[in-house]
Formats: sequence, C-alpha cells, structure tokens
Amino acid sequence: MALNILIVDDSPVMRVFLRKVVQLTGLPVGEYCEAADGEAALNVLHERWMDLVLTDINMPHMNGEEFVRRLERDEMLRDIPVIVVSTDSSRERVDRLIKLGVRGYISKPFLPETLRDEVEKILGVRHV
Amino acid sequence: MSERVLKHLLAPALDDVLEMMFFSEAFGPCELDPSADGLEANVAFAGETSGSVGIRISEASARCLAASFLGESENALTGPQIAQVVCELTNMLCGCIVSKMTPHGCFNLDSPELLCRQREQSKDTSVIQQSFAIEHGTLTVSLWLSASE
Repeated sequence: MALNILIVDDSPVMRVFLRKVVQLTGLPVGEYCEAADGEAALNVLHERWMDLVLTDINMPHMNGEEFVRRLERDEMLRDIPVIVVSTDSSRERVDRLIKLGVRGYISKPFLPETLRDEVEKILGVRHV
Repeated sequence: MSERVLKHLLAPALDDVLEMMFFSEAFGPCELDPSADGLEANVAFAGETSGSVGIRISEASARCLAASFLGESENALTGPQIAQVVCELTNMLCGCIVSKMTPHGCFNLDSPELLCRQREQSKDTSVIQQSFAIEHGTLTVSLWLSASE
C-alpha cells in the first residue's frame, strides 16, 4: 500500500531533505504534500487523505505542539499518526508531545534508517 | 563545565550532523582564518544553560554541503537555498551541542539567523571556538555562553 505523507516544516530546504530521506528509506509513497506551519497542515489534512504526518516543532503562526493539540481535538483527524522530527530532543518536550498523542519522535541529526524503523513500527510491516 | 570539556563537545557534534544529515565529514581541527570569506549563521538557546551557537563556513564548502543535503548539483543551487541550508546546519549543530551539554535538561532554540557581519563579543559572554577542515574549505563553530553559566 502506497503511503500519502504530509511534511510540515517552515524551512523549504528541510522539507526537500525529508522528502529525499523518505525516498532513500524505500517506503512506498503515493503522494507527498507539504505545509510550512501547523495551520497550513490542518488545511491540507481537511482536503486530502494522509497516512502519515512528519512535523517540526518550532514553526511560526502555529507551532508543532499546537498543531498536534488541534489534531487530537478533531475527530476526523486524530487517528492520523504523527512523527515529530526536531532538533529539540529534551526529555520534557518529548514526554509532553507523547502525552498529546504524538506516535514517534526523531531527533535531528538522524539516519534514514531511523525514520524507516519509526514508520514501520508505527504503521506496521504490512504497510511497508 | 570547563572550557576544555565544552570544546571537546564541538567535534563529535559536528561529526554527527555532517555524517548523518549531509553525508559528509570533518577532517579534523585546523587553524582559524579570520580573513576568509564565508557565510555566518547563529542560533540562540535558552534553558538550564543559555547562549548561542554560531558557525562560519567558507562559500565553497557551503555550496558543497547544500548540494549534498538537497540532492542537487552545485550549479543548480540558488543563493537563498545555500543560505537556508547553512541556517539548518547551524540549527542542528546547536541542538546537538546543547543536548550533549545538558543531556537531561530542557531548552528552547530560537530560529536560526544568517548574519550579515561578524558578531561582536559582549562582555557578559564567553566563547569556545574551534575550526575544522571540511570539503572545499573550513567551518568554524563558536559556542557563546552567557555569564551566569
């Protein structure tokens, strides 16, 4: 099954990088979508079906934490798995996000295999 | 944490970032060349320890790393793309260094900013600095700590 993936990051070059890393992992991807902040990401999710969201935390307008909070409050969107990809790997921040419903947390820098393992763990091997 | 210990955090942090995110490497410490041209970026952090991390990278090296990061040929890159990659590199280095300084601490990182001129050192900060040879030039990492640290 091909995965539709939404990449949320305010840095255009980071979005390109994440797309490249996903390609390197060999995960079957149907559609990539991108958003520069949480608000834009919510708009995408209301228009298109996504199997997975990769999101940064530090973003303008609506940051990653607020984005995850809004997802959890939305019955239509709350089941979409979210993996945070961030430079901020402090224990307190990770714990808070996991409590909010985040399914995975990857600290930058990371190897492509780390992303693949996290996606496989969250979506199950039958998907990949 | 002593200056010597802090200085020893810079090399492994740079190795981690270059190897994992840029598919590149640092070849080891080298002399600082203050006259060399290059790009500078800075990221401030706050938490148990506060300060900022800055880098200065030669233009040829920045272009080479940006090409590797984006999977593009060097000729296809624009100036803004290279600048954004330098900011991302600084951001990741800052997160990596701060995580190694305070493994169980909580911290916040500001957005990375590209600097137009060389940063002046204020009286209430100390700086730990190390230059490294990398592909096509040098990269200097500076860790600025506020006076209370």
